[in-house]
Amino acid sequence: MRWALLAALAVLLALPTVLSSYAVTIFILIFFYGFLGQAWNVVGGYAGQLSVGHAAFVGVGGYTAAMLSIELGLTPWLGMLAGAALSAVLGAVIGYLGFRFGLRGFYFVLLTVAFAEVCRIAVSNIDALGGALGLYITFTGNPRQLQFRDGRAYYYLALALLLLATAIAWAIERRRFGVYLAAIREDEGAAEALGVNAFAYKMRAMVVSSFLTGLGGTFYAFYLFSLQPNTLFGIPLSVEIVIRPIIGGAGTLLGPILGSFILTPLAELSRLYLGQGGLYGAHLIAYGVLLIGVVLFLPEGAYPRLRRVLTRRDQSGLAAHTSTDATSTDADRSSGRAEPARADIRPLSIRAGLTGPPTPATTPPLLETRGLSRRFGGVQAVADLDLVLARGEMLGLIGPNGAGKTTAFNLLSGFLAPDAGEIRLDGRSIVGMPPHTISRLGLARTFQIVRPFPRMTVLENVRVGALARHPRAADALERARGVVERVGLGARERVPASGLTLPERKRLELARALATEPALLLLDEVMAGLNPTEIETLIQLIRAIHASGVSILLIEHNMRAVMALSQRIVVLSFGEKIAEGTPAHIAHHPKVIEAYLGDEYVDTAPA
Amino acid sequence: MELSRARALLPLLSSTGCSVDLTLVGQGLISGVLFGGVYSLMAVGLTLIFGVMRVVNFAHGDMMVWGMYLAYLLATHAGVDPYAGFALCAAALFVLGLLIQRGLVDRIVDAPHEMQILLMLGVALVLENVALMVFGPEPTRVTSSLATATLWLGPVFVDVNRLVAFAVAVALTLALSAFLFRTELGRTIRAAADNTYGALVIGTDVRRVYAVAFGIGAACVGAAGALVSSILPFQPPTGLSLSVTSFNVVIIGGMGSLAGAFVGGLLVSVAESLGAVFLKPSLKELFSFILLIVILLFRPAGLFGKRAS
Repeated sequence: MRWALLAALAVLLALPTVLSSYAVTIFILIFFYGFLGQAWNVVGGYAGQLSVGHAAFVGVGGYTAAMLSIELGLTPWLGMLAGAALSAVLGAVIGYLGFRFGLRGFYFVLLTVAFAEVCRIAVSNIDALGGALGLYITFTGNPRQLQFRDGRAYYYLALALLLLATAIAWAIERRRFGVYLAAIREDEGAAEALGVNAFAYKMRAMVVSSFLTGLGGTFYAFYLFSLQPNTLFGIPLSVEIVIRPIIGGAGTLLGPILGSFILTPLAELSRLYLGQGGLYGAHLIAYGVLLIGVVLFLPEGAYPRLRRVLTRRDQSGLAAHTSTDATSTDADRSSGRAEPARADIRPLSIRAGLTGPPTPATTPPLLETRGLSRRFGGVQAVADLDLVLARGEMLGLIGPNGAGKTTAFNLLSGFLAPDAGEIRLDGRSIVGMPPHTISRLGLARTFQIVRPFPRMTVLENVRVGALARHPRAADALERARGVVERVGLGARERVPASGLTLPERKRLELARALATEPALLLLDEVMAGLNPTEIETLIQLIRAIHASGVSILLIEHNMRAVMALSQRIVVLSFGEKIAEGTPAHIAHHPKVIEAYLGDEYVDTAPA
Repeated sequence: MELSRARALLPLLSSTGCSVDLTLVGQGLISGVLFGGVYSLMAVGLTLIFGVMRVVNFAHGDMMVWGMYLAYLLATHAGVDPYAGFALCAAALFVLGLLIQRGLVDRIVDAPHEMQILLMLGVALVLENVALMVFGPEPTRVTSSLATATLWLGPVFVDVNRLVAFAVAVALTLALSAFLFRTELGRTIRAAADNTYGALVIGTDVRRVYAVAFGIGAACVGAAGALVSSILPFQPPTGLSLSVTSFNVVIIGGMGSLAGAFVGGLLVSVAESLGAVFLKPSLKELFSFILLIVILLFRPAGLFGKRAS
């Protein structure tokens, strides 16, 4: 693959010597739109934040460089950077508003469209910027003015831009940044629970993307010698930017490039042959049809499909090659991903200071809540809850359905804000902290309804958690592999999470939380849906995790598991704590029997 | 921040329009309310589609433009006045909506939102550019016998065609709500909107409900298009600004709320036409996009309290 890419690059470098000037023009457009698509890909593909207003960044970048050149005589080579910086500022504003105000999907699309249109209309009405007629750049042919008499210079410039954006995307993809963006795209809440500051990473993606797109604006303006608000800021350009990575494969490194190689010649030819006949919108109709077709038949885009076909062919020739995983990244491969998994079970290193032997009475408990309350409309989900969990303790939290157990977990892990009350983790108040901060402080949780990142493999899922303590992707992968082994998913590490059975998903959920190396683990009904044998092995596993120094708070409906695991049990009913004590005490507590266990359980409860 | 942007735009305001003229304001109010009926009808269609399927129809404005061109064809080729032809336009758009739903939307009802958005963008591109190919880029307006008639109410005048458009649009909206609340099929549609799974469990043919709902949504906007075809000059790209207006209205009214869409339509129309009193015409569009941004950020629970998901 690497050799093929290098060979392709060599061909592209040599190509202008043999091409006609019209063919060079087509290639310039292929590279340029590929570059814009790659820039968009950082936020739209990797981070999954669909922007249909990227033309705004082209416009701001282009107008800035052009104005600096016309008014101040500044060379566009520097104006380009100024324009890109201003685009990045606009990107940061849009990103801040969109992400802070929680605009997702449809709402985020509208926000980006609206900003681009506001820019377009404003520029059309500002006479100093040329108004609706736009700006014209006098042709001097001076390379200092980013102008060239030979079209091949633009060819190499566009190719350089494309390579720059691709190198940046490649670097992002390999690093924690890229892994986190993919996790955010798959399930933002689950990513937050694993210590990912989704807002910060989305902002960074937006800034990188808008900066690169802004660079493209200068190229566009100085290649065309003219700037019109409708061309540079208009929705048609935004669609041009979006459609290539979508068709080629959003969130993949080569998708935008492949998309541009497919679409750009198509668009140019249809513009040339159909546009002249007065058939104005022909290529846009083709875009629409392609978009519909891709959504219906190829939702991942062309590149992932192509890669799968190529990988399959590779493997038929290499009998020893066992990997069937098509979604692994280069980073995985370079860190020895293809080697058979080793069976080393390493103890998890736990953050110093948060764990240790059971707490002496004088130091603060690991987790403590006072008067914790939360109401939903007319329902008091959690009422005035006082909870204490000592270091090294395994505490069970039980109660009938609707007792407020999961709400309590959401309050503890920062997914919900309490109406009143205090939560202290190791003596420190965590009320009002976002989930990712709480996760970093050493409190990890699982979700009752498991939330794996479906398109990532088991190992990739767990790596997201491991990155919280091991920022280097390769280190995190090593850690993740250890955890995957430990929960017994070693044989399944390369399977996409969407292909797991429910018991396996439960284990994956546990592994991911464990990979954040927590001091306190919140387990929300990890036994639900498992058969007795599976429950028995999971009990052993949780015991082993506990023995390695992790304190555990578990919500569980399976009484055998709760009784076997918990050192103490707290019982909730209608949001209130109705009992607290050892399993034996709880099993015989009249209030608990009345509220929850039922008469027949009294006989079978451990004495 | 919004304030500083507003200040930056001040020099753009027309120099004459800044003095407040009460007659102009009254005129703006009246034409705003009258045009609002059409906005309401358009938004009711969008909110119905969203409420039932949770799919945002990005092609809504483009469907409306098709309603306008159909009214134009009827007027120029068959001599049918748009105020009579709107029923045919609605019927044609019903069929178009039904086909789009059955052929495309039905396959992605359960897909991630991004996929739905991209599909509907594709539909919007096709509808807009087929119109461009067939009818060309020049602005068009349908002539109606009512176009020049005006009534005077004291110092302000009322366009008779706006008045008729308003009356028909309101009547259609009321008829639609009677259909949804009084008939068996209407109740089934509301049940499917409330709880698709529940509706499936009790044996509702949800696919049929979806198809009908999408058809009705498209028919609303087809009728709305015909009703304004003699008031508003239009060209294929007009679809986008109509979509944006629909989104404005529906988000203000609360996504999925019929009553919210109705009242929201009147509010947005009045706001736009008062905006037009103070702003240069070219800035009216700017106003509507800034309104969209503000609405998105301070997205209310909707006028009638139903929180958007």
